[in-house]
Parts: sequence; C-alpha cells; structure tokens
Amino acid sequence: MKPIVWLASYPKSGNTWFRTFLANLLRDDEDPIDINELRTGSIASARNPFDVHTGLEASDLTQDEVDLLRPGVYLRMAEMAVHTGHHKVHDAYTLNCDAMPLFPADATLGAVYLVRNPLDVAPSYAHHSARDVAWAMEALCDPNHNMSDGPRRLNPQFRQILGTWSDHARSWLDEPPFPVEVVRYEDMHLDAEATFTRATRACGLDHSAEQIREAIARSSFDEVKRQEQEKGFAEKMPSSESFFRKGKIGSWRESLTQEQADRIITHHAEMMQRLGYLEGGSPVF
Amino acid sequence: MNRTSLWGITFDTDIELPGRAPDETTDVTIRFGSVPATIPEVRSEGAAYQAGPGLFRLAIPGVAAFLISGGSEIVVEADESAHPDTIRLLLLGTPMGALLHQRERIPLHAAAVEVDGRAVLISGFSAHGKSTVAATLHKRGHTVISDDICAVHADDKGAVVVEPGTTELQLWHDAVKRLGEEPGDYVRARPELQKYRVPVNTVSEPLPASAMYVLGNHNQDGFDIAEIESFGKVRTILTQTRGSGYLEGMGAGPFHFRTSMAMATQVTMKRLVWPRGIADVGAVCDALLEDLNS
Repeated sequence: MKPIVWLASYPKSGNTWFRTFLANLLRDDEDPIDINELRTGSIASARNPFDVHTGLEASDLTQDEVDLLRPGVYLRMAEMAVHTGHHKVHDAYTLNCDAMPLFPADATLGAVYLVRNPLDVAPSYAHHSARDVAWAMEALCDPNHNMSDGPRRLNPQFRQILGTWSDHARSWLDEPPFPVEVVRYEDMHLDAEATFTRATRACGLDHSAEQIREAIARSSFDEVKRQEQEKGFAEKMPSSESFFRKGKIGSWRESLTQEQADRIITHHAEMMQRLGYLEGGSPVF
Repeated sequence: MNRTSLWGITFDTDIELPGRAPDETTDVTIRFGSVPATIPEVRSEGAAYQAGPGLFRLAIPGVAAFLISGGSEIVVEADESAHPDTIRLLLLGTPMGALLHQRERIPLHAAAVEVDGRAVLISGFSAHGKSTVAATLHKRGHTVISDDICAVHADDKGAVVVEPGTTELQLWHDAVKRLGEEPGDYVRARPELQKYRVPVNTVSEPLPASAMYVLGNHNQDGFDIAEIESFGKVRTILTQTRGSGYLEGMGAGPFHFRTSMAMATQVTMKRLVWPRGIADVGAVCDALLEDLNS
C-alpha cells in the first residue's frame, strides 16, 4: 500500500511544470527529462486505469456511475502501488452521488494544490482550449463549469467538475480531511527554491537542496518550450496551437481589457484576497 | 427465452443479444436471478469485481450484478431502475469477457474486419477510434467479424482464429455523423448515452487472424506505423485483453499464455498512431490498408 499524492489544480496553473520538476527530481539525471515521458502518475480522470481496476469499460457507464466507482479505483491503485503515485487532478474536491469524496482519505497521503492568479489563468485557459478570452472568462465564473463532459463523443478523460475558479480553490483548501499544501504559481517563479522544496516535502520526498536546485534548472520554461517546439507535447489539446505559451506572471495586462479584469476581480475577490492575489482591491501581480 | 450464437457459443438467454443462428446444443444459459454478495474463493479483486477459479462476480452500483460460472451460466440481478437496454449493453462487455476466459477464448479489446478472407484486428484503449475505424472499413465493403470483444483461440489445426461476434457496432453520435449517417436512425445502446447500435454485415464462420493494429493517438501530423516484435507482441496481447487484471485469478493464465504465444508467432502486429482529433478517419483506413498490402 502506497497512498497517493494528488497534484490538484485548476487548468493552466503550473501543474505540468510541477510534474516536469518532479519527474526530473525522481529521475536524477543530468539531461532534462523528455516532456512526453513524465510518467509521474496518470491523471485521475484517465479512462484506462479505471477500466483496469474495475474490470469494466467506462464507456458503457454514465458519468455519475463512473464517479460512484472512482473512490474504489483510487483505493485499488494505492493498494497495488509499489511507489507513491503523484497523480494530476483537475477535478474540484467533490462528492459523488453517494456523498463519498472522489478522492478518499484512505487512499491519500496528501495533496499539493497548485494555484495561479485567475487574471493570468483566463488568457492561458483560452489559448489552451483554442477559444477566445470571453469564453474563458465565462468558464472561470460558471458554477457548472466541467471539462470533458461532451455527450456526443467518447472523451479520452472523464467528466471533471470544476465549478468557478473560486469554488475549485475553496474545495481543495477547505474540504479534504488530509493535508493540502498550497503552492502558488507565482512563488514557483519568484521564490523557486523555497517553494519547490516545500512542495517536494508535501509529496513525501526528502531530496537534498542540491537535487531540488538541479531539477528546477532542468524544468525551466525555456527548456519545456524548446522541447514542445522540437517534437510536440502529447498533453496539448489537438486544436490548440501549443501547450506552453508564455509562462509569465502578470501577462494578463496585455491580454485582458480593463472590463474583463474588473469582472474577474469582482467575481473572485474573496478568494483572490485569501490567496494573496488582491490587496486593497488591487491586483498584486 | 431467446436462442442465439455469438463468438461460436450458443446461448439460451433471457436477454436478447445481437447474435446469429444458433447451433442445436446450448453452451451457455443467461437468466435473471439472485447474485450472492461475494464468491467463495476470491483470488483477484477489483473495484467492481471478484474473480476465483471458474467464477466471476461483477457489480455496478445501482445498475446490476452479474455472476458468471463455469463457462456455462450467467446470472443477472438487475436493479429495478435499470433499463433493459442498459443491462444488455453491460452484459455484452465485462461479463462476456469473463465468460470467454472461462471457455478458453482470449477476449481481446478489439474490433475485427475481414480483408481478403482473413481477420484484421483493430485494437487499442478506449477512445482511440477502434469502432470508428471498423465502421469506416465496413462502409467500404469489409465485413465486420466482431466489435469491442474479439474472441481469439487456436483451432484444431493450431491456426489462430477470430470467432464471429456481435452483429452490430456501437458508435458514438460523432462517429455515426462521420459515416454520413443520422444517429436518430439507430437505437441507443442505453437511454442515457448518445451511443448507438449500428447493424452490420458479418461473417458466420471463424476466420484466421492475419494482422492486429493497435491504435494510438499523437499530437503531430501524419501517421506512424511501427512493427511490434517478439516479447512486445505478448505484452501487447496481454494489455489488450479484457480482464488482464483478473485472468490469473480465474485460472485462465495458462490458456492465455499458450494462445498469446501462438498469436505472436502467426499474427503481424503493428502500432498505428494517428493525429488526435483528425476529422478524416478515411485517411486512417487508407494508411491501414496500404500498410496491409505492403
């Protein structure tokens, strides 16, 4: 039995960057890891592990039936694991129809919650989804926002209930009965060593300061962007131009109109303030 | 009770199945009844199943439980709220896979079509386009041998064959549209899903397997077709087998190993990777047929 560490985030909040760091850290090689070979653990919404651990084919089930079985799948994954799995999650921390948490405490060591200024998430999410910023604005403010829930085709991933950006953050910050380490994308840039060290410890790993420093260097934005340009990235949406875009803090100032920024701030003021993205009503980054 | 034949097995069944004319002798009975909460000798357990020697139990909360025994009986305990079509769809999946293991057939997660008198299997994990490719090849005149589950075994002469399976493809709304057809013209596989039963022309006798293509997707342009060799073939057969996690627990391991070795020797296996989201499935079929002819 090796309980799981969930790497949870709203989309476009540094999850892939952190997984790249983690893969480099665990591999401990001089050359940066191939971004198409991260293998830190499958995303929680992937079909294949579900099919293997239930014996079923999820494509014959409704999304609610899948969610009823997901906690049992994660328990099986933890029971059968030889090493701690670090699994990416975009779902909010929610309950299924039986009022059971999708991510059961019995299967869990803890979670790292990666979070990013919603003003920067909006243009990045739009680019990722090959949609305009207005669509992403709606998504961030929509309490019913889900991913991969189109009913007309078989999606490679299950429906992921996200809710609004604030709902998502609140669910992971306040609900789980297991430890949740909050890691801000901005701190991964501005205070990399301390931030990655804190997240590494939350993953149950005791690597040295030097190993962490080297893994950060091998996971730089320039490196992952270079690799994507050279050979593509399997996790990119088919319709999207690229997965790695700017990787900057505060680039919303070039992408959002004042009206759009004001709407996000108004809608998410409380959570933005709580996470240090808003001070005295003004954006910090 | 209905009588029908699927994968070379004659069923007497309470539930209508998409099979063909049966033999005189019944091999398997499918009936509604009560399914126990557990089986006596659990050797392998998953989030929804228990497997033991000659026994397999599957439970889907709020829908149904199934007990598959000795390769000769399937008992179905359906929840009152479950639609008959839902039970039919689920029965055709995991329970049939377990039954085939018990009857010494490998249930491969694949569709198969006939090309030049031989079976070409199209395999791959869910959502990689197996049924869509099979449907497109069917539209071009290739007979469908089976969809979703292909029952594979070695015949009396040692030739690896694919048994004739279901007489329908199950296609999602988008896939039906891609064929240039209207989803509304077909019956839904279950009321809650936009997945449809599309009847197809099929064979009545087993066909020797010639090739297996394992479908995958990538984010680059173009197709990548690469041969799978030696031990990679055996590993691929295992990962593409329905119930790879519990076949040992049911005592099906030795048969699976023997048949995998025969299949690895007789069948060409390739990985066919195509651009995710590609609209033109016809191009995938062209690549597959061209590779087959080469």
